[in-house]
Amino acid sequence: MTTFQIVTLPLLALMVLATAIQIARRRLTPRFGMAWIALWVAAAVSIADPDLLVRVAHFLGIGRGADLVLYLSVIFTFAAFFLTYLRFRKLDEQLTKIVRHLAIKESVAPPTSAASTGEIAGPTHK
Amino acid sequence: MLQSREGVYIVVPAYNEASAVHDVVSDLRSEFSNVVVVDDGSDDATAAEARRAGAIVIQHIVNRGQGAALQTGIDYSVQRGAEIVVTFDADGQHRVEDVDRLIDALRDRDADIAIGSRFLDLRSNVPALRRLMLRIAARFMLIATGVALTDAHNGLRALRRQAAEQIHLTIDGMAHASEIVDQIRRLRLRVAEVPVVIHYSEYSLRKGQSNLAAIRIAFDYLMKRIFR
Repeated sequence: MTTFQIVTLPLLALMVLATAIQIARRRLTPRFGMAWIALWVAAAVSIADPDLLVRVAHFLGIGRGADLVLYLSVIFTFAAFFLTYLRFRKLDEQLTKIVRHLAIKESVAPPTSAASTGEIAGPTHK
Repeated sequence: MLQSREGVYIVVPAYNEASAVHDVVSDLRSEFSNVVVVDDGSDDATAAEARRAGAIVIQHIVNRGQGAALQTGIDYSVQRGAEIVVTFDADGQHRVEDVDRLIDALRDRDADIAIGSRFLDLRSNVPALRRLMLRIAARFMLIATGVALTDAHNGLRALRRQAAEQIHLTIDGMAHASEIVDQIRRLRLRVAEVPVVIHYSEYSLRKGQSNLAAIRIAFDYLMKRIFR
């Protein structure tokens, strides 16, 4: 076993455990949690057996195992960025709704002493 | 009852406009009784100044952008029973007398929405680069929506109640102007363009959008079009 394997494999085992605990505590949905566990396991397998990773890479037409990992990480990262962007936008919309609701609810009537030629048709409620 | 001014609500979105909003509201208040300033989470005395000048002030507790503020003002006006909702910028670039032209256009030209244009005559002294940007933007909106407007990004607009009820701005930032054009097309609203004068002061240019902001605005608009 290489030093790298000695350091990373227990770490990944811990991540699997931590993810499982989060699923059990219902902080992660089972589906989302299992996706994470699959990612940790895939990482562990490719570290434990680099030859397998190379064979998978060759099968996909990629020369080196490390390149396969790099390509997948880049795609994964950008997909995560994008999903986060959409999530943010949804949060933005929800926040605006709340702020708007509060603004209208808390509106107060203008002072009746204000210079006015016509009738003031401001809100009469608090 | 389009002539009745009691039914006209002027919506003024304002973010950190303490030094300009008082005069703008005073001018409006000399003609209209319902002036609604939507203070979009300003850090300065915008709300106090607007109130002092006689506006109804409603406040966003945090800044949400001009599109969000406009929609809040429109919602409020509709709830208060507005017959006509007018949008008017807080930085002093619009003229109060143009509001009447827009309202007249709703009636005389049987329109649902009247939009001011600074390009229908030569009275507005539009800086050359700004003119170019707005022309490109108008062409872009024509291609994107098929709605032909000479100045799609003018903050001065008048909406009949029915149009105000239907329009719903979901883009919080400055791309809301493009979103309005979208909705004009989707809701098949009848539009009238009305020549208005934009007063470019040093203040309004400093407070307004930089020409570079167009990139961000176009991005917001396109993302919204693609991912509803």
